Amino acid sequence: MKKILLLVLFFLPALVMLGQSRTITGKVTNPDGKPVSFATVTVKGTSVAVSADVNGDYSIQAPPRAVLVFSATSFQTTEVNIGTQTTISAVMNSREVLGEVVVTALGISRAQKSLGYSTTTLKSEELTKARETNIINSLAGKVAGVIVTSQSGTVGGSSKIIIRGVNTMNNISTNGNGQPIFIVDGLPINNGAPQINTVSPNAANPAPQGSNAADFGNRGGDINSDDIESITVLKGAAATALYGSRAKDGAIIITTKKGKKGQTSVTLNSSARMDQVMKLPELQNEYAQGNQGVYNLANTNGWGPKISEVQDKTFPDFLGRQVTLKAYPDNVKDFYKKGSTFINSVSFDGGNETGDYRFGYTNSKETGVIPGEKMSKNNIAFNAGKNIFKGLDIRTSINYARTTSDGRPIQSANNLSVIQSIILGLPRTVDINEVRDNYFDPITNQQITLTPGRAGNNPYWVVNNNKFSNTVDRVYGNAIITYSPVKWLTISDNIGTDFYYEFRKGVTRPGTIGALTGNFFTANIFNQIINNDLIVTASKQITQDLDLKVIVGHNVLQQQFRREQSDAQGLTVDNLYSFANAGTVSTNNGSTKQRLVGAYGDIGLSYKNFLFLNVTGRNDWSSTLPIGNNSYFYPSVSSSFLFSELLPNSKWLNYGKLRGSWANVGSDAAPYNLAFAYLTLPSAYAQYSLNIQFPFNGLLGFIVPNSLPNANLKPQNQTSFEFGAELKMFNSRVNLDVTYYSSKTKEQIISLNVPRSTGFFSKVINAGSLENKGIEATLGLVPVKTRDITWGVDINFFKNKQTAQLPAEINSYTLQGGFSGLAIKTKSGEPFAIWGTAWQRDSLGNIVIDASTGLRKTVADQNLGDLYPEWTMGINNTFSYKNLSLSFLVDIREGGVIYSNTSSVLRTSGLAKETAINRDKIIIDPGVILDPVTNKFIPNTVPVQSMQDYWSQFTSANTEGNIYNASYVKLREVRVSYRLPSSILGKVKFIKGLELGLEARNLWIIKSYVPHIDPEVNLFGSASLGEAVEFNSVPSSRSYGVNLRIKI
Amino acid sequence: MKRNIIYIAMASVFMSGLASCKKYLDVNKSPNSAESVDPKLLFSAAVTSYVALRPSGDFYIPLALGGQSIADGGNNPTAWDSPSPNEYVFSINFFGNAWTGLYSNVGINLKQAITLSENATPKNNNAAAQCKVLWAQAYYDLTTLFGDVPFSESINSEVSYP
Repeated sequence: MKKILLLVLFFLPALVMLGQSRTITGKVTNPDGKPVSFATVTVKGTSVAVSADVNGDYSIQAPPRAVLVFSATSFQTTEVNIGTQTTISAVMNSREVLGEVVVTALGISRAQKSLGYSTTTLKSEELTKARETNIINSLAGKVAGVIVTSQSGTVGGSSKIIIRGVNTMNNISTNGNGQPIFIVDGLPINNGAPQINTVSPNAANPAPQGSNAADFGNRGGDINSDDIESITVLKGAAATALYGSRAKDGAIIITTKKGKKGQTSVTLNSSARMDQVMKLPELQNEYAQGNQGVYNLANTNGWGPKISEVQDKTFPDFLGRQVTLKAYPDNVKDFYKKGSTFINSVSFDGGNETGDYRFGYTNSKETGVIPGEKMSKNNIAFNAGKNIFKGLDIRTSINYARTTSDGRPIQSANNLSVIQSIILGLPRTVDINEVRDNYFDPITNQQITLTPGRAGNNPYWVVNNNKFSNTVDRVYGNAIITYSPVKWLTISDNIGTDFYYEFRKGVTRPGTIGALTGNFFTANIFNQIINNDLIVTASKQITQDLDLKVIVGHNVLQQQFRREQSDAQGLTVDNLYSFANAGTVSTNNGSTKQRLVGAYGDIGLSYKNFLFLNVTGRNDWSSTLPIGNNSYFYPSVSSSFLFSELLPNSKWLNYGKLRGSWANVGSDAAPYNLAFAYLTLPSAYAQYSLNIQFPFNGLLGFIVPNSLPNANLKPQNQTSFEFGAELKMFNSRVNLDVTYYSSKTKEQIISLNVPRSTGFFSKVINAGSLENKGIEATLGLVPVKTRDITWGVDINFFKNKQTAQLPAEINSYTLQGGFSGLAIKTKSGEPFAIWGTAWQRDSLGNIVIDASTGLRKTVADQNLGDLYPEWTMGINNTFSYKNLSLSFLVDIREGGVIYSNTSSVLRTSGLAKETAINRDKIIIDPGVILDPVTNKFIPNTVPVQSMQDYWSQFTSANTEGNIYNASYVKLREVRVSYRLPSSILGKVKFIKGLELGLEARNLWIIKSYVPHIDPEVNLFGSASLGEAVEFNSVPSSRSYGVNLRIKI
Repeated sequence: MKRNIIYIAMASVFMSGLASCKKYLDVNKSPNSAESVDPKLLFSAAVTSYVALRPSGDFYIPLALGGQSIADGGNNPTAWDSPSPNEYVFSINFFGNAWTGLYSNVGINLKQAITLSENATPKNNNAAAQCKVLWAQAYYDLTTLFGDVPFSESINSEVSYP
């Protein structure tokens, strides 16, 4: 008390100087109304401080509109804005010692120390600086055990997230593809990326329009990062076991922001950023288009004459003029625009003793690097809670998201509107400005193509006319009623729904090469989740040292998906995309519905606050499995032991915890995989001829299904365990968290290919297992910490090894068939890998050359490398000096391979920089040839006739020629922020806080082994198990800009 | 007393949840496909598939329609020059479609149509006979192209590797 008196006396002169200060009095209490003795009360931003007395009463001098900060041991620090009041009573919530609280499965908050499994939580601070428009991307490189892959550079494109390795070989499950479930405030929401197969733009090659072809994004991207309070990543099955059959791939638990008691505030957050193509291909600028050194306008490639050697001649260009050849080194670069991103959000929040509210609105506008590509997103979020009477609380959260986009580029292959394939094929002598200004001939009303034979489209014709767009209207929200009739019992019910309507449209204008009569498709997609959880929680102190908490719950979940789509071919009038204007329209629809009922329980015991044990069990009944097999029980056990509590207080160890868990979970099948049912046949296939369309002469055709269903399907079954340790040392300056985990998923529900002589293409069976074992480590260091300067380093490391086991009679299992012999397959004892055509090699590994041509020989169906990285690491450095802070995140991936079609196209067409080398020479490819006399391999002496022949070996059919090491080191995120000190802010009375930041994302690929492209792309999209294949993907972009946050 | 009310309320909520469970879960009947069809619809799919297959892929050689194309080498991947002008090389790019088409598009639908026709009351022998004729024709094509092919064990869901 004496000390405090001294302190008060010491600061008295300061108080006198603040002439306009008034006396504020009040009482500090805990939520139960009991006084908090000797709490420290300070005026924020000043050094004015007093201590409350034993009854919690205090008195302090403060200017109007100041903020009082209340702090006390074992209580959370609380801030109250005094406004014009003179009596301020503060309520302080207690804080357990080192008691970080984590939101776990079903929204149950638990103390970090009691958890027997590993979790990672990202706070809103992490998410609102350098905001990503797709929330999944903000997890990249920040969480050990999590791998995020963005699928393309499309604005609003999709991203895939995998936790602790892929656990499924199941490419037919609705919640398959190995991605975790997404939970917002206890409500499971959809993160799908539905593919719809359209007959447009080319009837012979139906194009999947979803995350590949045009990338329409993954629906998790609808979530707005400004409305998020925290994201918790639950990695292991023990953490998610209460979700039962949906738990095996982990969970992303999102908690939205709520209003805070006792203060009303308005927050503004604005970002403006610029986007640029991150990595442009390296091109040669010496050779024109043609064939074997002879100029030919019909070839869009770089195999023509050397430009410098034909300056005395003129050649026809694509506009029919005779010109002297000249290289345009930037023609590819100049095709791409500078994209822009503007994200503006405003939120209002507040609350009093019995209720709180928060309202948020965010608008994002983006344009992409491809001309005409744009997206806009509007999010409205409302969250309010109210205490009706003692014991009864209600809370409602409702979110509306509307996303509209246009000009989503077409990727992949088999379509002459694939923009990347046109751009990458641009001859070096073409001026992109002339191409842009001359894509349409107003006299003939026709497209001006780059070749006289009209073999391909003008890129500007495509971006200006052939537009793929979508609109998503989505609502998700829930209501939670919590009733606590007696102190030890809480009954709560959480009912919620998530539904969206998506409209997709893709048009191809008549006159487009490859679809001369034009076509278009429209699709309506509806997806809905209805979920109800009834949870009863009872807690009891059994003895002085032993606490018991029992949770019993009941869950009902319904998921519904519906799609109607129409494809129109043969348009009569130009630019009219109406079904009445089409020669043929084919319409089809489909829908699925599945339901799940679950009952679950959780028994938690804690002994003296250092030993914790949790046992959970859940029984699910699923509609998608046979009646006899549709009920299954999943148990889990987890335990944590705070050994540091038993040790004498030591300076170097502040906190030490051991944890371990075991769980058994699984998953059901996709709907309608059990019964044998007939399907309509849309058309009968004729190779190199015309398909016969149904109805044929007015008659429909029905077929037995291509995949033999299985009436005895069983649920998949995953058993996993993990153990780990958490250590905080040297005053929490060194924090280490290490986990080892192992999981095995058996009885995989797979669609196995069978010989066609069975009449079927495949059959659905339970077979095979997948094992994932690995290590996660997070190390947090604070090497420097003084009053003004702090330097923190956070390192996360993740290593996973995946192994498949197949039944003995199955030699290999194809997860994803692909392009030109490329497939993603697995064999017993191996992880998922890319298989395809490889160079033939002798026993010493030398490439075998064909003695008649000098070109390499190939062998089909070889393992060309693993799909997934061996390990990944993220290193985040944060420096702060007073109010200035700088942080940068480096993301490292080691291992795995990628197939690059861009590299194939650039090399076979003679446009890549490396193809300009040795053009005037005849080279001998180092390798071996088979000596016909001795039948032994001897060094190759047969030359390749030309470099054009040499590079033609790198076509997409020769998979190995385009396989690269996918390892990379990237500077993922850089942020600089400056918080205005309160000494300046004090003058502007109404502003509580102002922060200005510079931010950059995907700034720099520090190291990569893949030429011409960013190694982080994927053709197959987030809905598929396939990965590591790049096929004319829109290049990813680097973005940088400014951010301003104001709190009023 | 209060405690008892709570227990009873909880128990009744759970009981009602479980009782309605079985009916609630009975939604796994696909709205996208038919559980039974008239065999004529399978026949129409099979015969149309057969007709589409016959002038395409490797099967169009005998057709006069293909004459022009054959003269240029047709589907022969190395045209008529290699290995010799007298040989036609069957390419994996084409004959796989014939195999798939005849077994999985034609054969299985015919066999299913025969089963359905013969098990119908009254028996629809005419329909079964039409299917059998077409099936025989399909097998003629299969053996022409491939030689010995699976027959008795083929198109039988019990046999995975005929």
